[in-house]
This record gives sequence, C-alpha cells and structure tokens, in this order.
Amino acid sequence: MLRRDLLKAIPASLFLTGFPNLGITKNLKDGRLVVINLEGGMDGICAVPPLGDKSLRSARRDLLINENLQLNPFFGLHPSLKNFGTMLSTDEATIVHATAFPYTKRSHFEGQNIVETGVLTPFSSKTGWLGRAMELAGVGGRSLSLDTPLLVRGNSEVEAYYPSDLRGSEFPDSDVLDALKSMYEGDALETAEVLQRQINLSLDAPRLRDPEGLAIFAGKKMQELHGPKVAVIRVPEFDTHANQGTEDGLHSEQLRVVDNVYGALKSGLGPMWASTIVLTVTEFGRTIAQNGSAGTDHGFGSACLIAGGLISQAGVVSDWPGLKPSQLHEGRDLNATIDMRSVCAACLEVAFGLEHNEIVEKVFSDTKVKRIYNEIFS
Amino acid sequence: MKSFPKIEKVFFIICTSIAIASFVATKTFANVRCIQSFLSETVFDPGPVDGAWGKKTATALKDYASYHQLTLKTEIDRKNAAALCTELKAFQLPLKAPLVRRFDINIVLKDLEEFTGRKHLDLSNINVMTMLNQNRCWFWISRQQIETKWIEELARGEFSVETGRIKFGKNWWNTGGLADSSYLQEQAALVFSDDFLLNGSIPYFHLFVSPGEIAERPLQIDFEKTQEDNTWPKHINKLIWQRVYRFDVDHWQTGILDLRCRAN
Repeated sequence: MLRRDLLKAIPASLFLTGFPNLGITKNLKDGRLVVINLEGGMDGICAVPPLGDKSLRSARRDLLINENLQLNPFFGLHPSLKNFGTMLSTDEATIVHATAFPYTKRSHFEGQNIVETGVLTPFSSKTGWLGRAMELAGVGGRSLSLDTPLLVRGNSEVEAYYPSDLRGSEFPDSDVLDALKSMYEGDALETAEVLQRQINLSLDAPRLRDPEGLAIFAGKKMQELHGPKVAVIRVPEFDTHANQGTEDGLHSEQLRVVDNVYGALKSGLGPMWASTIVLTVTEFGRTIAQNGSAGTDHGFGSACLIAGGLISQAGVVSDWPGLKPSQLHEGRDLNATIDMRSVCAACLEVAFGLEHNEIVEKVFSDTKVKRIYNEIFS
Repeated sequence: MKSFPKIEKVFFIICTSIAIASFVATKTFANVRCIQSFLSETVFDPGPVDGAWGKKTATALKDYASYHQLTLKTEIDRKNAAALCTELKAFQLPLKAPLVRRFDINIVLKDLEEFTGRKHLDLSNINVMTMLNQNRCWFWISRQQIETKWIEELARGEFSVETGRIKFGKNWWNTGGLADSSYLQEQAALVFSDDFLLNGSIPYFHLFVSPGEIAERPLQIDFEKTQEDNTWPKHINKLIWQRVYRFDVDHWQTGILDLRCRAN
C-alpha cells in the first residue's frame, strides 16, 4: 500500500454545526466559518518559510525545501500547498505568521484544550470559543457528529446526530483487517485476503473517511439554505519529531491533505464560498532548529492559513520577530508576536458580523485581545 | 641644504594626505558601523558590527528595504554610507514599536504555473485555426472501460467555436455529485490547431456518484496536439462534421470527446 493511500485512511473527522435555529437566529451576517484543527503542532516555518531570514538556512540544513513558491522577497509557500497558492494569487487567501494561542508549555493535551476553549488556563472551561461565539451570533443548534467537540460546545445544549445514510462504511477498515489477519490462519486468512483485494479495488471509489472527502461533504451541506454555518475538520498527525522530511516527507504529506481540504471546500461550497472563511488552528509551532532525528520538537509560534471569499486582498500579516537566537522564544522557538485569539476574533467578526468588543468580552473573556481585522480583511 | 624646503613640503603633503585619509576612513568606518548596528536590531543579519563594509552588510540592507517596501534614495554602496545611515535613522523609530502589518504578495504567473503544474493555455506555439468559426455545435463526453469495452455517456451539451477556440455552453453531467455545467464553462481551455489537432485542457468527472456518497472533484485532462480518432465509426450527413478524440484517464478507463458541428 502506498503512503498516500495509508494517509487517506488516517482517521480524520468532521463536525458540522450551527444549523440555524429558525425564529431565534439574530439578523446578523449569513457567513460560513470552517475551522481546520491541525493536531500535533503544525510547523509554520515549513509551511510558510521566511526565506529572507538568513538564520533559517543554518538552523534547518536537512529540512530545507527548495521548490517553494516565492510570495514576496521575504516569504515563500510550501510546494504541497498548491490550491492555497492559487487562492493567494487570486486574493482568496491570506496568511498570518508568527502567531499562537497564549500557551508556551508545549504539552499537546493542554495546548489542544487552549486551542478549543480559547481561555488562558488549560482545563478551566467546559465550553469552546467557537461555541460561545455561535451563541452570541444566535447560530447554535445541532451538531452533525457522533460527539460534540469542545471547540463548538456552548453553554446551552447542542443536540448531536449522525446521518445514517452516509455511505462508505461498506469498505473494510485496513487496521481492523490487519488485526484480524494476525489472529487467524487458514480459511479465515483467505477471507482476509479477499477483503484486502476489495480495499485495493475501492481506492478508486468515492471516499468518505479522509479529510478531503469530508471537506467536500461539509461544503455541500453548508451550501444549503438552512444548512450548517460552522464546520470543524480535524487533520491529525502533525507531530513530526522524527524524519519530518522535505518535499516528500511526512510533514509535506500532511500539508498536502490540508491543501486538498481547502480545494475540496471551495469545490463543495460553490457560490457560498463567497461568504465563507476557513482558518487553520494548531496548538503550537515547532522548534526552529532540527533535532538529531531530522525532525522538530514542540515549539511556540506558527502560521495560520486563512482562505475564503470574504478575503479582499492576499498578504502575509505579521510582525516578524526574527530567527536569530536572541530573537527566539526561550532561545529555541519562533516567537508569537500576534495573539491567535485576535485572528479568531477577526474571523468571527467577518463571518458573523459580531463586534470586536463583544467578542473579546464574551467569547475570550479578555479585553486585552487586540483587533487586527483591518490588517487581515481590509 | 637647498633641498630642505622641498623635503619639508613633501613631508607636509604626505602628512596632510594621511590625516585626510584617516579622517575619511574613520568617518566611513563610523557610518558603516551605524548601518550595521541598525540592521543588527532587525531580523536582517549584517554580520559583525565592525565598521567593515562587506557583502553581508549590503545584502542585509537590500533585504531590509525590500521587506519594508522602502525606496532608499541613496544607492547601496560603501561610499554612500553616510547618506544611508541618515536615511535609516529616519526609519528607526517605528521599528521599536510593535508592527503588525500586511506584506503584499506578488506571485509571478510563470512561478505559479511551475508550482501548481497547471499551465494556462499558451497559444504562442500553436498555429490556431483562426478561420474556424461555428456556432451550432454539440458535444458528448463518454468513458470506455478498457476491460469490458463498455461505453457510458458522462456528459453532453452545446458549444461554439470562435476563431478556433472552443467555448462550452449549456451542458449536463450524468455523474452526479459535484458535477455541474460551470466546470466546463469556466475551466475548460480548448483550441483547434492545424488539421483539427486539439490543444488545452478540460475538467472531467470520471466516476458516477450516488446520492449520499461523497462527491469527487474532477480530474484535469490535458490535450497536446491530440489527433482525432480515425477508427471511430461515422454516420453523419454532409451538413454535419464530426471529430472524435480519445484521451487517457487511468488504468481502467479511457475518455472519449465527441464534437459535432453543423457546417456553415
């Protein structure tokens, strides 16, 4: 089995929510918001390399990628992000660089919790920032998933359901099959081989479980008049401690998945793309220097990729902190000069028409979160 | 003894020259140091702050100006160090404050084509059939399974030809899912060159998708001087011409593009 086929089978998940509560929904903007949660810590320096920073080359000798798209004299774009690059060229995407949620302790569990809750102390909130914002915008409702992710949980009850007519479950799962093969011999093994052949044949069949397939489904559902307004797509496996690779490495494969999600969302949303904003979140970036296993460890600042028809001008929004050792966070990580909550607030503002003051007070409970709406969207 | 005044004069000239040279050198040294010290506060590394002008200092200065989209009035050169230092000092203040700003993106079309691997239709090397204009045309897109030879119709619709270029009009896909007429209308780029050779690309939905299944995005099919398929049976009358093109899709199906136009 090829690596890309294996990656297709990596469990991704989709949560559609924010179905309008008819009669209750406030008369706010009818935008759509999709959050792509990059679990494991996406390497912003790899996705959007600061090619103009001279310290990059010495820190990443084995991980440098040569085929980046030159965005401007300073920044480049990773070769896996082909759809995203096209969107940048047509002013449908933008990048925020050197950004992170205010969390510096490098734990996945705590970091993921902060990404979802949007508060400063891990495990101190039972609701997510997106859920609270949906309540504020009056777009609470049902969650199209087996369980409701913390990110979209608000204070009021969210009904969860999963449509049973989704097809695709007739194809056997390769992990289960491997487990069965290791347990049985003889006739049972032959049956397993038949199933293996069926998996191979099903590679051309319509897909359901991979992030790209889920993104098309999400887009088509969100296009409907009374469809969901919010979707959360998880893309796991960004934690590349070893063999991060260059053009063909593991991190590049994962960025390709993210890029396909962007392309698929645009295709699925159709005309609704014009009223949509899609952003990536991740718990932290990765260290500037590569480690002894040609990978990178948990860091701090990363990059946020934003796309959608609500963007009017492409750009790289940043207060670039620099990569010289004296400019790094604790001498090892990219500093985050932009609070990721400011980016989320700007996206909530553009999608739902909420006021910045209202967002920082009621969603993030921190009035110090700055407004960078103009830098991103105008 | 007569030569003494001359020696004195020469000595005086030498001393003055050395003094002037060291004064100028010290001044330049200080100005280069000023530039280096300024740049060392930024992300652009000028090397050691030693007053010696080198490639690193010049590159850092050039990158700094380019990053902040500043137009320096003075040419970046050692002899202009004093003026450059003065110019930089004028920019020093905003640097100290936090600076969230948007850096513009300038993607060169050629770079983008190379990056995405998808080329825009380049007509420079194609002898386009500019005399070809047809306004009543129909097309069919089918797939043929390689093993069974079964042919299934995927799409049909209208098109016109304007100075050799095909423009798709209303069209219908039988494949379900995402397929709709806008893909061919907006993304297809096809042109006839000499002797009805087909050049360009079209989006192609290669699978039938039932309701409830996840839809597939179209493949992009490239035609490069593709010749018509002469094995295709033709039962068309004199008023209508037909051209049929086969194209590779994957290991189990080939595609068929059938074009018919009413002769003018």
